[in-house]
Amino acid sequence: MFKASSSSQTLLRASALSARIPRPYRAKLVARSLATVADPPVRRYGGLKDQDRIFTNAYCRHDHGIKGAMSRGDWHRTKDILLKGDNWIIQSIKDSGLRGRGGAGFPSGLKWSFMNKPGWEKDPRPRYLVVNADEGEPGTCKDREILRGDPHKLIEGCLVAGRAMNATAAYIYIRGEFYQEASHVQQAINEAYKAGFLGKDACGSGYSFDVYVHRGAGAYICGEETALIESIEGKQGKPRLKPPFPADVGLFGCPTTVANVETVAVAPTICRRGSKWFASFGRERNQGTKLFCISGHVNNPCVVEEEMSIPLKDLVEKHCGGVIGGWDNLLGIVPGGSSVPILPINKCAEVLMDFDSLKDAQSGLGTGAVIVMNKSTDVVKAIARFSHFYKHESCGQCTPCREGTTWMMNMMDRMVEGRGHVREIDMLLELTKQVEGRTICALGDAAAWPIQGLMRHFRPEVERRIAEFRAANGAVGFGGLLKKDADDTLALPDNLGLRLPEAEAASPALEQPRA
Amino acid sequence: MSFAKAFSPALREIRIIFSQTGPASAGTRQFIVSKYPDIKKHNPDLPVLIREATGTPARAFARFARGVEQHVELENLSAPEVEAKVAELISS
Amino acid sequence: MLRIVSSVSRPTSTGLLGKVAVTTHTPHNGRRSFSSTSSRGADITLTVDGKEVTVPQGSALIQACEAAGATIPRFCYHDRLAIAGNCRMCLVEVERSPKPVASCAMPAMPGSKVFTNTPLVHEAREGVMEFLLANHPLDCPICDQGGECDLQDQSMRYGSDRARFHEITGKRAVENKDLGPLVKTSMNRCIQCTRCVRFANEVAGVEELGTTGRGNDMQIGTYVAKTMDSELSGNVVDLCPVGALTSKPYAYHARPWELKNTESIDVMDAVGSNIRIDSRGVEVMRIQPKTNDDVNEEWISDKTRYAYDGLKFQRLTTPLIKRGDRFVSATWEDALAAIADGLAASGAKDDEIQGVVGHLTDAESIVALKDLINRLGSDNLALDQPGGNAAPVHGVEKADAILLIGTNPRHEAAVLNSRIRKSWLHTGLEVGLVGERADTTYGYDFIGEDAKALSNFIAGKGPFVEKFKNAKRPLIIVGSALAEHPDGKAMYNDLAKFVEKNKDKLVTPEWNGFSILQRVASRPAAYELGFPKFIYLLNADEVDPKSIPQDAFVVYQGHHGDLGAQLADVCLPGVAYTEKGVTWVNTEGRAQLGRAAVSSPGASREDWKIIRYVFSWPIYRWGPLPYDDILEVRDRLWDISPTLVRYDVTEPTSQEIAIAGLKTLATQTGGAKVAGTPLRNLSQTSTKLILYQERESVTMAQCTRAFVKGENYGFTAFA
Repeated sequence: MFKASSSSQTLLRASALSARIPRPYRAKLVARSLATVADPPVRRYGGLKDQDRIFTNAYCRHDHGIKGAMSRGDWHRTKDILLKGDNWIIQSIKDSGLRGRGGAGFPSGLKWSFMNKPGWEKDPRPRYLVVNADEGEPGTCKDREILRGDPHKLIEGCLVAGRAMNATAAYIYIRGEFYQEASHVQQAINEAYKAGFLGKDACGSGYSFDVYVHRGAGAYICGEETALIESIEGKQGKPRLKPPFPADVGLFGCPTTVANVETVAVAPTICRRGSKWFASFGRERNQGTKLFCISGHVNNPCVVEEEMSIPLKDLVEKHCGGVIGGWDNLLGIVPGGSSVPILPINKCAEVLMDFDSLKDAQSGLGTGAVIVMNKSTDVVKAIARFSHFYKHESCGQCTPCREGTTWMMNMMDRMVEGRGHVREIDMLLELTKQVEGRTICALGDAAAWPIQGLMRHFRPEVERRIAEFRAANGAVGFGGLLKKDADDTLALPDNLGLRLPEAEAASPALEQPRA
Repeated sequence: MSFAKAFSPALREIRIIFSQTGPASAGTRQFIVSKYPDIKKHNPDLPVLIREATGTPARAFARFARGVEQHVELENLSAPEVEAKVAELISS
Repeated sequence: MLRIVSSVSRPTSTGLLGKVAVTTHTPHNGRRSFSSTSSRGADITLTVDGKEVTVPQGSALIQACEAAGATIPRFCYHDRLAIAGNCRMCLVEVERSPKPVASCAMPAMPGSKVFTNTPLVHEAREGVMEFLLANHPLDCPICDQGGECDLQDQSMRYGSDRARFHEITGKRAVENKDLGPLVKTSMNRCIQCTRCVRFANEVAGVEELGTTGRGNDMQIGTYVAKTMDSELSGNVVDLCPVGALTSKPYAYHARPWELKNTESIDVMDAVGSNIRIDSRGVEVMRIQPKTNDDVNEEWISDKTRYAYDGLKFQRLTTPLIKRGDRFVSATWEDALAAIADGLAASGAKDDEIQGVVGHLTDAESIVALKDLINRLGSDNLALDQPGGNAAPVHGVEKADAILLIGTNPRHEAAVLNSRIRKSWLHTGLEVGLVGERADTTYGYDFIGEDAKALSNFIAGKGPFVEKFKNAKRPLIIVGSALAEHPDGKAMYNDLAKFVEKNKDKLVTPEWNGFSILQRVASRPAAYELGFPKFIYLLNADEVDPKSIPQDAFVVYQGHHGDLGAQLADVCLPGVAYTEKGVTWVNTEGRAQLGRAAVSSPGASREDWKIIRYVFSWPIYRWGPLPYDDILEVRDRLWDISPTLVRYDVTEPTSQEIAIAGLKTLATQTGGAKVAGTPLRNLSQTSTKLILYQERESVTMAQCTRAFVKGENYGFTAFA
């Protein structure tokens, strides 16, 4: 640690500002000036204590019924929370810093407050809270643990969140494949009604609230909020255009908010234990705890509730027994379900598991589904499998997604084999740029990002395959036509790249990756 | 001449054309409102055509045998005057 | 049926900047029509490409851009259908928005800055176009839409110049669906814009078309093997931006640049839809709709669209004289001599001379015939069907309660029906029906089937009474078939009394709530104009052969050799509606001018000219009819009723006159007894509905087989 002279300090500051190197992985290193009092202590995240855990029955080891739930603290003084009123509840949520746990990460307090726009009392329509339990994102299995083990937390959460939004009823949309989870939730609802916690006079507070379960029928796209609303209404699960937003025109044309299971399920605990307590976990603007579901090449794949901003490496090593073959055997990690770009090992070592940190690393937290891939993985095949998924699940409404996902899937399949031309990598990236941001819903973006992530970090691998394939089978034109199969007597278009100069060269060393 | 009787069989058709809203046709309009039901009652098979078009001058046509037609102008006439003119037309 | 509550971001249906013209026409206000002006909210101002533009609130951004003069490419957006936002071709850049915005879906916000010409927008358009063309087959040479294809035009203008799709997996293939004998499907070409689905659901009211499957496997069709059972089904051919849905009878016949377009009026029903006749040489190749917001918006019924092939068959091209039981072709002079002889020989005097006007007769011919018959000393003019007094159908879209009596507008005036449905969907219109239960594509209260039901309703009993009473603008639409019904007189009587009683609602200076729906193009004109030993049939084919006496001398003037021609002693060839420029009056009382698109075949002549010529024969003492050219005929029309030469406007009926008329109607029909037979709607194959031209049409025969008999034979494209 050297004490710099003031001139070089200015230089240092200037260079830091101008270079804008994104380095806030650790706690920010404040540029020292002469008048500093003390460095703020560098805080380490992770290590959530059991008494701070919210989901105490996530492994369904204990009774998931009402007795067990109440013994774990659910439904305790819910009446008082309700009586505190909508503004208080929303303010608590805002103060706690809770961000949507379903993938988008929108501040929940703000989102729920959209329902209580000035003048909402004059609107005669009923108002709905819709809980998105259509856990479709590949790799995600946290919501099913909540539904199976802690359904009462969810139901109580519906009530509290519903009260905050002045909703008349809640619909829980559970994906069709979750049969046991749906029956646990329905059981919990029945028990709650029986105990007087729901219904005409919920918990004796005078507020009426109903909760319904709706089961889905196997479409990932129904996890998108407007498609979910369409599905509950009985129509095909095709996302709607926004505007109008669901808070204005939602389910059955009434004001609606769609929230993720986890977001809703932590709401009563926040209200009970205090927003400050929740905000004490995680970094600024990424507060609270989260259920992470780690799968893939780890010794002990599991679902674990941890503090936000826990370093990814700690998460994998502490709770999952580390990567199979050791940390250095790691190839890459997809930190938030298949929709976010993959991170290579050097990034994985530095990154914290929260929204901002991962965004800065050009990935995203998403649903917190960590997919770990070690060096035994064929990463191109993995991303190609993601492309297959998106092509299968696209609803087909808008052109870029419908056609783009198929085209990208076909191209990725060829990239797995190496049956392509290096120029096609750039073409593929351009295609992803054409899909991203131009679609009705975010499935288009979700389809585009993994490919962008692959090319950003694993491009040499793709190029290597292309070169290998060409060494084995001769030049390949655009679209996968082998030069040796190209029949010159047929009318082949000239733009297939079969006569490119690189194609003539047999040596892969001449390949210049194009920027 | 009173309209409360059957007209001669030589008269084959009556046509009255006027404007719905113009002041010049006011008399004609009044005439029709008061007399049309009577005319039809006493001459149920006689075609009486009432045709309105904005801004058109008020006229009455009568068609007799062999397609011969006579017409009179009813612009700016009051109802009794209209009645007189129409009577004259019909009996001619 | 699901009723759509008007949702937030729907643009107004009356075109971009609303209808400014109507309200400024004072003192001729009350120019009423089928349509209505929707109430305009506040106007908002925004900037498009640097230009400031003001649009009504609630319009979409795409309408604002169009108003500013920037053309925005689109496939799925259509002014008269709900917004889908599928194709993403209309993306524009809005300030402060990170992503491009679909202009058809975004409502115009005051003060927003929109850019339609930036590199981002260009890239977005090229990208979307590339995706659309990725799975689109290379069918242009064999596709009927070539030359008028939105995809072709927009890819030329907004797309990239080269293709990048070379995948060896190839393009998507989709099975063709059988939608019936009218719409040819080639679903490989479909770009899933869902315009046809929205049209079928909203405008046509048949919820038969839909999407099946997800993602790239999404297919448009009826899912169950079913034909598209709507009388407006041909309009999806116009709507489809690519060649996925094309016209089956027109398949492979012509290219659009070969065709000459003539704007005219349709005569298959009494709506008077504006059409554009596309002809090549002397042949009419197809009929397309022409936009007229007041009459038919942009739609035409299937009959209108497809019956043109009947124009080619069984035409009368030369005058024919009957010798024995065969017809012999003759010259005009011989035919006219034969008529003169026949007239003298039959000894018909005065009222024994009858003129009968048929379905497809225009105003000029009717007036010529009437004058002729009158000069011959007769007043015996008839229509094919006896009728009551005709009050025109006004302001359907303004009504808030409609009572239908003995009519099924779906079959009788399909486009009018779609307007009623539009009103029913988007406003609180209530409809009640007296007559045969039928699917009219909108919900209605079924009051009853016969005259008794009507009297109950009038007496205040039964369903719908309250709604009708509380309506501010009730409308009664009486079917023209009522006059033929044995209980017709009694029902008219009841109705007249009812209307009188409620005249403060039904007949006011602004609103005439009593109307009769005509179903035949010539009727309104014929009524407007005021008509046997010697019978002159003018296009009349619905005449009951039994009503023609054995020894009567019959002259038939028309363009097809159908029933009327068989009965005749002399046939004179006239021309069809596509070959003459004459006046047609629709059921609103609106006179519209048709135009000749092709020349007439053989020795046929225009109808009024024939009549003028026939009776200018020197043997007739009273001299020729006083008109020598069409303008003089129109002068004569003006003499009879000035509305006939006032084109494209409707004249409102003044209140007192209407009431006087109703009073008379009441007295005239008083005393009729009720037999209690139920009202039956005219079925689709009833001879009353199918005009002879349709009988000649092969397409219409196929339609009858498919839709009426329900025989779903394989409808492969026939030449």
